Formats: sequence, C-alpha cells, structure tokens
Amino acid sequence: MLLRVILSHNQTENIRKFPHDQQTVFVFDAPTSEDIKECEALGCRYVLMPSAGHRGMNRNTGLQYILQTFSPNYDDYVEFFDGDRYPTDYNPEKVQKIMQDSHIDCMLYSCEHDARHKKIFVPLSGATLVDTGTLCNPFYACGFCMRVGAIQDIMAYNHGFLFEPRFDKWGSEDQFLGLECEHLHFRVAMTNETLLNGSVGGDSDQHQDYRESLQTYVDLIREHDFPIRNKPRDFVVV
Amino acid sequence: MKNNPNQEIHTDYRANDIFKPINANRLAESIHYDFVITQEMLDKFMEQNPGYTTIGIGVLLNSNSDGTKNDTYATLAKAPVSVFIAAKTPSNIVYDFTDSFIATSSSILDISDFMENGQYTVTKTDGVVDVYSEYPYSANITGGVNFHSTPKAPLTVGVVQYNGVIRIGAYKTTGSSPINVFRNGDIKVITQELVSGYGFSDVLTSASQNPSLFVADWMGGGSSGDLGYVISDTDTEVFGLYGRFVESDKLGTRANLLVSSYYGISTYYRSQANALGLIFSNAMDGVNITVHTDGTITKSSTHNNGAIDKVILVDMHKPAIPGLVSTATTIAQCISEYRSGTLSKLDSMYTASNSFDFKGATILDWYTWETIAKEGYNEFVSNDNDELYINADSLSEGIVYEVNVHLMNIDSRRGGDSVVTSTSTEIKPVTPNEPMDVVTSVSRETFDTTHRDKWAMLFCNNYGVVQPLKGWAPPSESVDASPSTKVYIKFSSFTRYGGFDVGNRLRINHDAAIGKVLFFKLNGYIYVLGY
Repeated sequence: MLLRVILSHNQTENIRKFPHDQQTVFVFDAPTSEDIKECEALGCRYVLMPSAGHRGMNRNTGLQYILQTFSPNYDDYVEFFDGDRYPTDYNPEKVQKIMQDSHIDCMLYSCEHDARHKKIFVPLSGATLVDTGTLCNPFYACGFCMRVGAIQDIMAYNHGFLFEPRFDKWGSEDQFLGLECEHLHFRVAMTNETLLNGSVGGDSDQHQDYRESLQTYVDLIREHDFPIRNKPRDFVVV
Repeated sequence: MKNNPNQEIHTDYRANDIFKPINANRLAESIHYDFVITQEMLDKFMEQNPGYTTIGIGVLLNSNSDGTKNDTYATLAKAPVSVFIAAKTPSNIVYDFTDSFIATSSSILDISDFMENGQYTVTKTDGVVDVYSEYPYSANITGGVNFHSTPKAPLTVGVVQYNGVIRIGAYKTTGSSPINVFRNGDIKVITQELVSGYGFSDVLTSASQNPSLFVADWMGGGSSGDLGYVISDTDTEVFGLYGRFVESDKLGTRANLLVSSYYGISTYYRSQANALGLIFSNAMDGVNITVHTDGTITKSSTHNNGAIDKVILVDMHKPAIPGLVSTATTIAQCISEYRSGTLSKLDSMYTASNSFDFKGATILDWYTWETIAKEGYNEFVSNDNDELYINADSLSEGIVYEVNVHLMNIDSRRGGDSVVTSTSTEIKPVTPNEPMDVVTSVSRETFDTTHRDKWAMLFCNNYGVVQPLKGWAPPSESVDASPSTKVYIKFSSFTRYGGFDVGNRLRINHDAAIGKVLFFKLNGYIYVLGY
C-alpha cells in the first residue's frame, strides 16, 4: 500500500496535479474555502490546520491521520509531498517496486531541474569536488517516500515524531530527518523515476530567515551527538 | 515584601535558563529577580487598559489581579532591584520605568539609597534597576536602569533594535544641575558588551577615556548657519571624539553618527573632511553635523522636521579601536578620500595577520563598495580590498554566525564636484540635469557583481593560517568548493538609484546589493552555508 501526505498552503491550483485517490490526505496550512471546495469536488481526504506555517507538525499530523485511518503494515509506504512540488513524471507502482527490490528505507525524489545532483554526490573517483558535510541535504525541499517500518523506527527514536517539532518555522526539519536516517543506518536513495516540478538548489533569495532554523539544527546535532560525515553514506541513485 | 497577586517570584533563575551560554557567561552566575512580569499579568492589564501604548512598570506591577489599576502604592522593594519580563510584549508597547517605579512618590520602589537631599544624585544613578527579558521588548531609556538584552531578547529604544547588547545603562551627564531622571535627554547612555546590532562602543566615564556616546542638548536659539547651535554640557564628553574618528579611518573603518531626536533615530554619514573637521550629513533631516578638530560639535541648520530637543551622538562601528574592550559587528570600508581633484582610497582591511574577531557577536554587517568615479574626469578607482579574513579560533562551537555583505551605492556631490560609487549593472546619471559621462567608460561587466568571484571570506586561525572549509551544500550557490578555503559572496539583489536628493548634500543608498553567508563551527571545522 502506498499512502500520501501532501502539505498545501495557498496552493489550491495544484491540488488536481497530485494523485487524489483515497490513499491521499491533503494537509492544509491555513486552509481556504477554495481548498476545501476543490478537495470535496475531487473526493479527497483532508486535514485542516490553523495558520501556523509549521511544516513539520503539519506533516506529522497528516501522518497520524494516515496511520490511524489505514493501519498500514511495516512494509507499506508513505509519500510526503509539498504543495508546490507536484509530480510531473510519476509511476507509483514503479516507486514501490524499486523500494522493495532495492530494500530501500527512504527514497528521495528529484526535481526537473535539480542542482543537487552535481553538488551533493561525491564522484566515485573520490575527488573532492564537493564536501557535502552531511547526508541531510538531499532531503531538502522535495518529496520522498518512506517505508512505514522506518517511519515507526524514527518515531520510536524521536519521542513519537517523524519530523522534529522544534523547527517551528519552515526549514531544516526535513534535513534533520536525514540525519536521523543516517543515525539509524537506514538505506537512503535518490531516484529520477519520480520527477517533481520546478527546480531545487541555489534558490537563495527565499532563505533570509534561515539562520534561526539552522541554529536549531546545529543545536540538535550537538544534542544528539550526531557525527558529521564528509561524504554521504550508503547513498545511491536508483 | 508585598507582591502582585499575579506575580511569580522566581529566585532560582539562572542565566543559562534564559540566554544562550555565550551570553549567559557574560551575566552574573545567578540572577535573582525581585519582580517578574508574567504573561497573565500583562494580558490582563492590557485587557483592562486597552488604550495603553506606554506602560509604566510600577503601574503594571501594582495592578490588581484582574488587571485593573491600583492607585494605592506601597513600597514593595528597595532598590537596587531586578526585573524579569517573562511576557511576550506586543511590539507597539513601550515600557516606562519612571511611572510609579523609579519615582520619589506614588512608587512601589524605595530609591532612598540613590538619593541625596531629596534628589537623584549625580553619582549614584548606576544600577538602580536591572531589567532582563525572555522576549524582545521596547523601553524608554531611563536614568539608573540597566537594560540587558540578548540576540533572543533584543531591546528596542526608539526605532533602533539592539540585538544582543548585554547592557545598556543610563547615567547622568556631567554638570551642576540636578539630574531629571525622567527626561531622556538628561542622561548619558552607556553600553557594554555589544553582541550584535548597532555599534555602541564602550563604557566610558571620563574625558580621558574618549567617550564615544553621549547625550546632550542642542542649545536653543541662534541662526541656522554653521556653528549656530552649539552642543551644551559636552566639554568633557566630546573630548577625543575627533581623534577617534581619525583612528577609525586608519583602521579602514568608517564611523558614522547616530542621532536620536524626538522624531526618531537617524544615521548621519560622513560626507566631507575639511579644515574645520569632519562633516556628517543626513539628507532627509537636511542637517549637517560637524565634529571639529577640537571636539566641538555643531550642526548646520534647523531640522527639517523642526527643532531637535535631545540628541544622542554616537560613533558607530568600531571593530578594533585600540584600548576598547567591546566589539562591534559592522565593518564599514572607507569609501574614499577626495582631495584636490584626485581620488584615493584607504586600504586597510582585515587580513590573515589581522583577522576579524567576532568575540561575542553573531552577526556581522560588512559594508563595502565597488568603484568610485569622479565626474568630469575619466578616472575611477576600484576597491581591491574585497577579502575579509575571519578569526576562526574566536568562533564558538555550535553558534550560527551570519555575515551580511552590503554593496553601497553612493552619490556624493558638493560644490559641483562629485564622487560617485555605483554597483548597479547599468550606469546612469544620478540626476537628470547633471549627466555623468565619465561613468560610461566603466563597462557594464565591471559592475555586474552578481556572479563575480570578487568579494570573499576566508577563515584563519590565531597564527594567520587559512583554514579549510566544509560547504553545507544547497541551497547555496555562493560557496565555491574549489578552492575550499574561500567563500565567494553571491549578491542576491540590486537596487537602482533612489533615496533623497536634497540640494548638494550627500546621498547614500545602502544595500545596492546584498550577500548573505551563514556559517558555524562544529567539532573544530567551519561549515559554510551561503546564499
């Protein structure tokens, strides 16, 4: 079973662009009447959240809804999307097959224009083209799919939360998830089999308020005593 | 001691509970609060008194549990005392510590130890009240009150926010007349341990220590010409100020003036140096202020907005004035010296052997410039000092630092001669009636700094050895991994000419372009996330 949590904030026009089957729940941050109208027209499930801008908690809420509604098994999957990153090339059956065949715990989706590939991945030659510092970065900004068993392991590790709730603004909650995956020795992969619209990497103008999130991120790294690796670990492209 | 029913008396707060360790280390080991303003107390008071934008601390602390005012005041504590603001204060609310708090009557505070002959004394106004807060707050500067702020709980005075000034104290200015502690203009404001924000310099109490910040009155009357208004009560206060500006220039920094008046706080930028001294201008105010070689300070004319009653003069942004203990967080590179029809520039900058030390600061604003051209002459100078060395050994583990690089856009024209700096990608005349043909000789590419590898940061240790960096990868495009020791600044925005054009006065538009870099030290390595 493949379930979906889609976080949406003022992105009514994108709702139709996502899969809107019964395994999908939209989580609306500051919902509008148009959001609800559109969802009901499509027969989608949805969760309404106040205007909090708290992406991690909103995703956690959507996940709770999924877990309680569907009681998925250890080997089922949950996908997470952001409302502005709808898939343009997407085959859910293929996603599941890749994850099953490759024993992947978490698979990160690519964007149509994805600057991360050239920046993050250390070439096999071992050249020091880019010193990534950590595994977390590939989790930044895009959709991904996780095995339910892995989700449960992280929730057991982090007080019942998949996304760390201390990131009360946007930013870094997904990257910290990457560190947790690293810590729990999950098998993480990136795939081009699912493509999301838009570009990622270098969208610097949007990050003027990132310092506070980054400080929380660094605080958490120190608190958890996470090691900082210079190269990605067990990180593959499938 | 009687307490407000809403009030929680905390006796076990420790600095570490409130502030980040870096700041807490600067505070007392243990702080006991005599008064705590709780959220419930503030909320109920505002509910019962909805029209208040200025809230007297004494009135608030003395209020009834339902938030209504209690006009019967009894002494609750004897100064010195400490106050902790544990409430999220709306940004439009200003705290006033004179109203029924530090007052000789109808007050909850006994200030008898700070009085002589029924008045606040000249010498004993230090440390009557210490104020701490968990959240940002605004306050009127009041004599005898030390305001403690941190990056987390900045203090706003007027329109200026002090992010992480550990202490702003207010003391009486010298003079024979009794202090009126309730009038902002009669006190001297002193800061300690600047963490970030505007660059107040130091605690200084005598003329021999070259005070850098003081408050005084402009004398009333007089014509609007130069030397018309003479600052009063400053014979000792201004001593050495001119010399400090000169020293600042030698270090490659550019000190400006911060002037506070009834209408707000505005920055006066250096526009000219002549035989009289240094001239600072603010086109919007329509006023020039001259710091004379003998330390006298004058202003040229009446304020555009009317008379100025009280003025605070500050020399800003002194990263490394010898003999001072505090740190500033701004580097203002010297723009130019314009003398006798030639252009020159000052070349000091932080180098490997003299790297920038953040000390307790977390944010650095680096003001820099690209090119200066002179109208009527086919000559211009470009800024070669485009690399900033930061002392990596001085950085604290786990603290995220931020460097904002501001490219300035300057039009300085006086008496028909002009000095122009531009960082725009397209050079145009600054004013329609005074075309600046010379500037067209500078190619468009010269000014396109968006993707130029020009301005950069490097990190070195105490011995001047450049340290390798670890990039934090996306969302950065400005961090160049090769070589891995240099962070090139990517500028993300440009503005065209704008601002105010008042006669022949200086016009400066800050932030023609902005670059931002975040970095932190973890396990001894410097990780950089650029923007």
